[in-house]
Amino acid sequence: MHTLERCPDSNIFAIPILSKFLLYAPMHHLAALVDLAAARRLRDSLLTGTPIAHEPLNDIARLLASDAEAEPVPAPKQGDLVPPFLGLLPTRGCNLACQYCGFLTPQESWQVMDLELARDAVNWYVDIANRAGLQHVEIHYFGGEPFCAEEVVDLTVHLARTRAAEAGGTVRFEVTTNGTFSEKRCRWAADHLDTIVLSLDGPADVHDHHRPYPDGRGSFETAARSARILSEGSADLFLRACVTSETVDRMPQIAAWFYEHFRPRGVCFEPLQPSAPSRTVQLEPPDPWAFAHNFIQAAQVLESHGVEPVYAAADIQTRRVTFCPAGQDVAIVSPDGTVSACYLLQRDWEARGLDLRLGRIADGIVQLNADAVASARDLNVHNKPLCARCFCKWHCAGGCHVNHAPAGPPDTYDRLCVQTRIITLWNVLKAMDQQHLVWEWLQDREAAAQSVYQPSDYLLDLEEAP
Amino acid sequence: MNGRGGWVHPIYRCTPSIVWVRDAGQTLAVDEETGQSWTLRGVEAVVWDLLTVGYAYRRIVTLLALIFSLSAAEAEQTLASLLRRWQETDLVRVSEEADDGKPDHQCSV
Repeated sequence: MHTLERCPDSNIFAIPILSKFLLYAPMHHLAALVDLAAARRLRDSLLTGTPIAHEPLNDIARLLASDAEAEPVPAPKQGDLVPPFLGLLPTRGCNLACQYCGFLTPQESWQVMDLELARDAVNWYVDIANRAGLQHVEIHYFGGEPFCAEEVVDLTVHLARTRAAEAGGTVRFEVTTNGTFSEKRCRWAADHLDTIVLSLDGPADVHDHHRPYPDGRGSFETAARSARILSEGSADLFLRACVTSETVDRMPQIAAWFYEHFRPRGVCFEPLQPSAPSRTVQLEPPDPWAFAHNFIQAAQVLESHGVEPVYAAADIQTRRVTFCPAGQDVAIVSPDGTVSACYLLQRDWEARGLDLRLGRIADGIVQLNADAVASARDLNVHNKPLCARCFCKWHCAGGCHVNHAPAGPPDTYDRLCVQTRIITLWNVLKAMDQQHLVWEWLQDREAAAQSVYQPSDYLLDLEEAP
Repeated sequence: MNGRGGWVHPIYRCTPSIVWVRDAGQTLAVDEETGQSWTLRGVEAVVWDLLTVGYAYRRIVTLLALIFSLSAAEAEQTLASLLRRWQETDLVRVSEEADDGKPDHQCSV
């Protein structure tokens, strides 16, 4: 294999698809289907700088060889910390007892963010944005369930809006919620927030099985009522469904059911992230091949009705060095005043050997640790060996730093990698209006597996034989 | 005073015939019976929002103080004056129930 130093451009990939190769250069915004001979000629041309006699192929070679035609490779953040958004965790508590949730259970004690702390966090963030000359600020609410501490949400929405208006800027709010709030609160959310990600795993039998209240009652009725109300509001509604091995084959049906009953802007399918509670109730993550296959089917159902299918790791419009808030300079404030780079639980980072604390807010004073900020910025795809030669690297950026730790060499693609590679491939082919090839390709599982587990996607690593 | 040593405040409810819509940083309230309308901005829009979502008087004072960097006394004066004005124009009415200052959210609309 070529080392990075020997590669004139390490961002040109070739993935075998049936008898062809998908040539994919995300930084050049180029995708093409070529045969093996053409792929080899392109590779040789890039390595030697020799023009190709074949005119269209030479045009591609010239484009790929030109730095001027390429988007710069995404780089980690540098300089002063200017969060692209402020994350607030009003509480870690939640009113549900979802079967797969590894967050705090309702039995564990809840801590609600102190109102003065919430105020200080917003003022700190807006001051930074103002100093940086930003006209737009964003606040994202995570939990627990943010509306279990609705006073924090109300305070911060009005404070941020007031502060942004004073500076002549705008503010955007996004919340991830289980939707089990009152009808009045739901209408408020539809009216005041910009994006609402509502967890709804599917029809009643699926949702109630996954997401009961602590007393065992299902939460479907309330969540579905909220989805209906939010469908009528001005906020963008995204329905987020957790998929298990039991529900993976129902994804297309669930997608159809979603658009028949609600009007979401998008539907996000996420495979179950195994946790101690999910193992206890024997909920398993889906097979990645089945997930990818059913996601593609579900996506086609959704797209035919104008609903955006979301599998964020395979978003080919995005080029990034990190998938999640960690590494993006996002500041997430916990109820105890800890400022961190991640909204997951500290015990989960620690289990991965990570310390994602950036500092803390106490008594109105924000103290950030510059070394901690630098360490968070090091969490990027440039430092993930598994991703080095993968064509998805600038889109998924290796996924979640906590729940997906791609530390191994490029031949150790795991569940997340498999489904991400298949769905990304489909997205690229779809952009070329060649999506039908995916079905043909997936039918030959052996050939598909060779592509999916290809240790290097670099065009420059294209094997000579045969 | 209530049993906890705090002042008992009335609960203010939105007049039943009022409908409102929030748009571009302001709230437009209209009395469907009389046709009278109010455009609420800044602190007025915030108070209206907190009131209609169900906050009790004392909690609104607390939130106003934090949002607008006011002392508790200033926040209370602002709120009291606003509510008096709204009562006079029949935008809000005083409920029969008493607000004992509990920090829970009572649905006052």
